[in-house]
Amino acid sequence: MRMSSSSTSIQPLFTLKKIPSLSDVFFVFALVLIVLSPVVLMGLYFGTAASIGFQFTLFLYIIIVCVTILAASGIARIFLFAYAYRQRERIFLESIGDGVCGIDVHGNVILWNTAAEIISGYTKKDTLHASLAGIFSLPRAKGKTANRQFSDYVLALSHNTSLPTTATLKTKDGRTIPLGATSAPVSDRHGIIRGAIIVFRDTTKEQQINRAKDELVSLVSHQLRTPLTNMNWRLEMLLDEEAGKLTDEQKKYLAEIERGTDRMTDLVNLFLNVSRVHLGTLAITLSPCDIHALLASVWQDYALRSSQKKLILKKKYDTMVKQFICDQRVFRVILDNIISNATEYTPPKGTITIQTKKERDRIVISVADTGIGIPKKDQSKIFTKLFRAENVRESHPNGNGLGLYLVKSLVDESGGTLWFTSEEGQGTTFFISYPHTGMQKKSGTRTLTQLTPSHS
Amino acid sequence: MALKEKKQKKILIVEDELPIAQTLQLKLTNQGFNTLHAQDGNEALSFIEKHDIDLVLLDIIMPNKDGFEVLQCMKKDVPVCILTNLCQEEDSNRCKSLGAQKYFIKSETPLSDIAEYIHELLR
Repeated sequence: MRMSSSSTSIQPLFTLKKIPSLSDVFFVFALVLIVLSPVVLMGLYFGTAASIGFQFTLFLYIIIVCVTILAASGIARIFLFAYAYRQRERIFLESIGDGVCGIDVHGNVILWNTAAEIISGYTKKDTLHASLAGIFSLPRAKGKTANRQFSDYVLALSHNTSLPTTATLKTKDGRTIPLGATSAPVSDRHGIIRGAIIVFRDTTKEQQINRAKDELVSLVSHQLRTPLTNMNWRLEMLLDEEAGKLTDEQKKYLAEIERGTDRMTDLVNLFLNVSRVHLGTLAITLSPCDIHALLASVWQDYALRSSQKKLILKKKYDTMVKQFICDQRVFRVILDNIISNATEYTPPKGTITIQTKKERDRIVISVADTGIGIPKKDQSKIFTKLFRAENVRESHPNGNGLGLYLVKSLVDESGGTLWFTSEEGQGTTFFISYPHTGMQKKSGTRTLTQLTPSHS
Repeated sequence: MALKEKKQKKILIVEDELPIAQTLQLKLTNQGFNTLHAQDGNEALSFIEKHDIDLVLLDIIMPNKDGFEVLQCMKKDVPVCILTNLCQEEDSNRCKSLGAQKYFIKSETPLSDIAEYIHELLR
């Protein structure tokens, strides 16, 4: 394999590994013989042989020829062996079903297998020694200005890693296809990184399946909304005694049914919202809003619940924070979920502290509670879809594990950051941070459906 | 007396989902209104032509002619209140620019809110 002729010495990716065997020893011996035999013979002839009158006979000549032939065939076998060995590695690499691409420290391609050719349309001739940047791309990271080139990114990671699912490959005929890729560094025997190897595959099919799944969720949720609406309306009429007087017992039954339909409505709306984020159809449209007024209005929805639980609300508002450019529906859903969790998971007489703060060029909103907290071992998974921490699974069996997942997706989607600190039994604080310039705009065809407050 | 006065107010419910239409009819009849039901856009337009209607409750997604088309094709000046499951801002803006008075999202609105609004409007 040819290497790029730069100052850094780049070692070949594969070196011939010798498997010592008897034949190897024989070949080495033969090699020594072929080099040494003429010298020995000459020495014999001119030195000893001549002085004692020894003649350079036909017999000797035949021996020399035989030894030479033997030695030559030995050498040939060494080369053949080496060639076959490399060939075998090459064939293995070539036969891997996923695209395999090796790059050197400069991001130039030094290996490109057949699957890579098929996926990308680029042949080995096209890619070898060419820069990788034109073929693979990493979309601009959200909220970051620098668009790292794919090869820089791969090399910078310098450990085995799955590349972001947003990585794409530009095929020779101009299509952009989604990639599932892993990258691993290639280091020499001293541990110095000499390049990287990327294994990739076309994930178009998987993404289509995912999309179909999201579309199904969206469709089902839509279809469920009409009968749910009708159930809610009829229930409302029944409870308003439009169909005749109700006994207290009947009212209790109906109230229970209403709780059920409300929960279903919430779930359906939640599913719709999640599928909108997944399908990328969610639009983020910006308008100025007063954060403190919005917080007050969200809190209003939980005022009843929190007064029943005798929760204390502390407001620490920074007057520097007021106007904020955001999508009010999105922002409301984010705050609603966080505040709802705080009221839900804080025991009676607990305290909830809502704070706004301007920190250099960012706005930070935090919601702290004195609730049950998130167990250490569950903290890394708390934003995972459908995940519920162990301590709430028992105490609050009705949660659905979608709320924080949606919040995280929404904050990410709108250019913000979401994190938390938590101590089990002590409480949890969620932080939402945005650049003071506001949310990031996004075009799309859908907006969020508001959840009905006070339940879930 | 007051009830009799209200009886005169005629509300056209344009809705392809029969159960929803029935619930709306029941509620509004209970509230003392006279109701008509049209299953699609075409039927709605002919009802608006033939009858003396005070208010149209209009769904958007319907067979034949959708709510937007009904708004465009309406010749009479009758107040229209949209009652739909489309919750996009642009849909609501489009309806308002086509002359709709109010935009309700069905699944987000209690029936009593709709009734209250109608009472306000037709008082």
